[in-house]
Amino acid sequence: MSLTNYLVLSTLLFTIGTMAVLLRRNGIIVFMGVELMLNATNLALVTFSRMHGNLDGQVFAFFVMVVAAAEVVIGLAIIVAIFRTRRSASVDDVNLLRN
Amino acid sequence: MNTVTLGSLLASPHPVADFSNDNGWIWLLKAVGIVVFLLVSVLFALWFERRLVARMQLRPGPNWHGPAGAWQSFADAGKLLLKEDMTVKAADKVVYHVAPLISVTCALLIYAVIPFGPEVSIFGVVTPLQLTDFSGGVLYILGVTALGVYGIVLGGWSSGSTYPLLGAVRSTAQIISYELSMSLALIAVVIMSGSMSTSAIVEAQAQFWWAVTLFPAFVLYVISMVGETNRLPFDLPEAEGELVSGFMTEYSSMKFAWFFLAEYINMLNVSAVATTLFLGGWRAPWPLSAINDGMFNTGWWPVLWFVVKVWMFMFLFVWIRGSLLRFRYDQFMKFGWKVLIPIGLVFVVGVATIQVLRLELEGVDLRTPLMIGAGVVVVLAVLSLFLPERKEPEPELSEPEPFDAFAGGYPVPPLPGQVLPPSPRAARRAAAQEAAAEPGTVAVLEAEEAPQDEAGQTPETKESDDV
Amino acid sequence: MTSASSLVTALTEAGTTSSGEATLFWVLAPLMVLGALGLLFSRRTIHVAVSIAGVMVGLAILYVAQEAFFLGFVQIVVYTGAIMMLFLFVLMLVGVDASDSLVETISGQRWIGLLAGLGTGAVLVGIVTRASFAAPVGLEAANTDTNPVGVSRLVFGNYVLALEVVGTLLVTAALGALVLTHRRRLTRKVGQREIAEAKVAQGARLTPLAAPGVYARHNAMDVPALDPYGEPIEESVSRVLRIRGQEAAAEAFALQEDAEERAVPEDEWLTTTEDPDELEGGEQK
Repeated sequence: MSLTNYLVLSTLLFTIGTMAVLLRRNGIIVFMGVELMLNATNLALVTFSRMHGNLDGQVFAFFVMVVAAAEVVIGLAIIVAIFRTRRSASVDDVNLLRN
Repeated sequence: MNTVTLGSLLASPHPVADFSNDNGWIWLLKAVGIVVFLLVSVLFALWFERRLVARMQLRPGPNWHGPAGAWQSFADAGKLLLKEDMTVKAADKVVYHVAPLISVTCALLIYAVIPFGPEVSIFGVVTPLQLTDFSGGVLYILGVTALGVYGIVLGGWSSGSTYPLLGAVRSTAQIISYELSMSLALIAVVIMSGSMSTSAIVEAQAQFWWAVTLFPAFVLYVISMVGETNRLPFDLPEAEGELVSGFMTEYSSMKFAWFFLAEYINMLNVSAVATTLFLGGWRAPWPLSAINDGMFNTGWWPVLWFVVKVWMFMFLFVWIRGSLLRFRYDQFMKFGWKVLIPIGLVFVVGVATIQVLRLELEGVDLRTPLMIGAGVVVVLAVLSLFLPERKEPEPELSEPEPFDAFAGGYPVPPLPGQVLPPSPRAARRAAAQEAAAEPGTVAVLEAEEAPQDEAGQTPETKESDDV
Repeated sequence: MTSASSLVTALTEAGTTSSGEATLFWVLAPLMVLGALGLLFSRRTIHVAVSIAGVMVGLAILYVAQEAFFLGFVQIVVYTGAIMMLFLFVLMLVGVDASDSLVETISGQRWIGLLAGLGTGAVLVGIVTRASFAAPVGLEAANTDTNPVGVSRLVFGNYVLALEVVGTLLVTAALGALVLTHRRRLTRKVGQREIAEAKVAQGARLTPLAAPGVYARHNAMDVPALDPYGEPIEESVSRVLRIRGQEAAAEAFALQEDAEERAVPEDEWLTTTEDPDELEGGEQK
């Protein structure tokens, strides 16, 4: 098995994450889609790190994880705040500033 | 159990412990040995805890079946196995059945990295008494603990019932917050040992146990390990008085038994981690370790020290359960976030600074100044016991209010310093005694007293009836 | 052991993985893709969260298989332990039944989304499979001082500035979350002691309410408990039942002197109190 298989798995996961972001309405699920995309890129980074034989790729993946954690903290706080006022976690209901 | 395959996968290319002589059946033997050790320990722990708590509460405890009631655990286990296995109608079936298994699997995984002893010879094969060992042992412990929470959370949610859900939410918040302080305590150990592998950490404690040199981290760990295992006084996810049994309310029979097993194995896990990381693991305690050139640190002896230390922690668990009351939830969270985590952070920064200084001043023997520093701290701590306690600011003593014996309609006894108003009856009695000299007035006084008493008492008794 | 581990993780001369790793990959990868598909097809949000957590554990195992021990464990601690747990926590907080609305706000969005997603996938897979990579080097050399040490050398060496920036970001994010979810208290907080004092001052009930049916000779929710005098305690039955008029007649279960009266006729069990006065009385606390 060559290392390309890992990359293909990574792109598949990335695609599924993208589609979840595009298709689902529930804000929380959309968020999980974003997380899945970040994870898929991490897998690619780790694989590339192994291909090149240095650890920079793993360090990148580590930083991606930290940024993802920060993003989730803020994102979920926003979802909770919206839920409090709108009683809904659907992304379609977040149009208060529209008109 | 997939411990074997996982273990062989995880082992780093440069483990500290040398497993090069191992073959398949040694692996199997060790894995089975660990599971058997855990199960037997849980059975023993059930009896141990019940006897000990009973002792503390001045009652006999289980004393009927077998010597000192020791077979009671088997009876309990049999009862759990044979009970009717109920599945709640509102439950989310798959998750409901999987949750207890997640709990128990994660609980069983931790012992894979715990060293029971140094290298021994098993049927002629020289091998360390440890299933596996790799460069990220401490991280592995943290990761598996984090996974174990899923059992509790999913079990609570999938029951489709209020109390379990509340228990699950509580336990999520609790374990996330207490795992932070726990990892801070572990990080201090990792920094000082210079390795995350458990066997290397035991190696680093050849001279001093980290429980001595890193005492604050030890205390931090012991507190958060109680929080991590949902034991009194931190048993809020399953607080009987508030949530029936929390996340496991809707579980019965074997599914409940899995949770139960996981809880006790988790106690053994955190005890073993505490032993390995802070109490020198399998190393013999000091006076014994000096005997005969460390004879007690070789061969099979270390298993004894390890088990004794683990059971010391188990005793501590039971002792705490026997003597402390449950926290209120907000106090508990406040304690975790505002006391334990800041202390942990400050301590880790301090330890890191010391370690950097040690590396910078390579060659300079820092042990003496460190010991002197520790000594000074201890002396100061002891001296602080003799300091006069700071006086509570005395409440402003204004004019003492007249004591109202019937405040709000309830009879209230006087507090220290308060005086009952003079009883009208006493005054009357004095008057009556005075009047006894003059026989003519007695009858009048007595006639006066009787109706007054009745009038004074009737409303009061009536009120207490209403309440 | 060293031999076993290198069998599993090390690359062969030709730059391909060992058969052990290939087996692991072919077992895990389909499971992970299936789990990820849960993101698209699962109805209940909790199921999505659980399957994504599974995918993340799978990723962690793959990291470890790819000689990234440190990252593998960090993945489990950070992603499954903290991030997905946070998701679950929020799901339980906002109600797990928050489901998708089926109304399309943008017409044809579903098809456009599907097309865009599949297109992205096709492009990415095409690029990755057609690209020719140099022969993989493997991390044997880079991991000589164990993987965590190697990673930490880089993190605290070349990338120390990035680490500090990211740390600041994390602290800022935590503060931001606090600010976003903070609600100012509109009324003063009432403490445990104050509630107790208020209760005493009002002459209200100090103890918890009696549980229904416990002291009566019946264990049902709708049968009131009996007080020491044998009188039924109305408040022991749930307020909801009382207002709905579904309370069972207590007299039927009360302690009676006459043994014959104890035999409760079948129809009397089912009589409910529909006395309006009694219902009103039930609304106090």
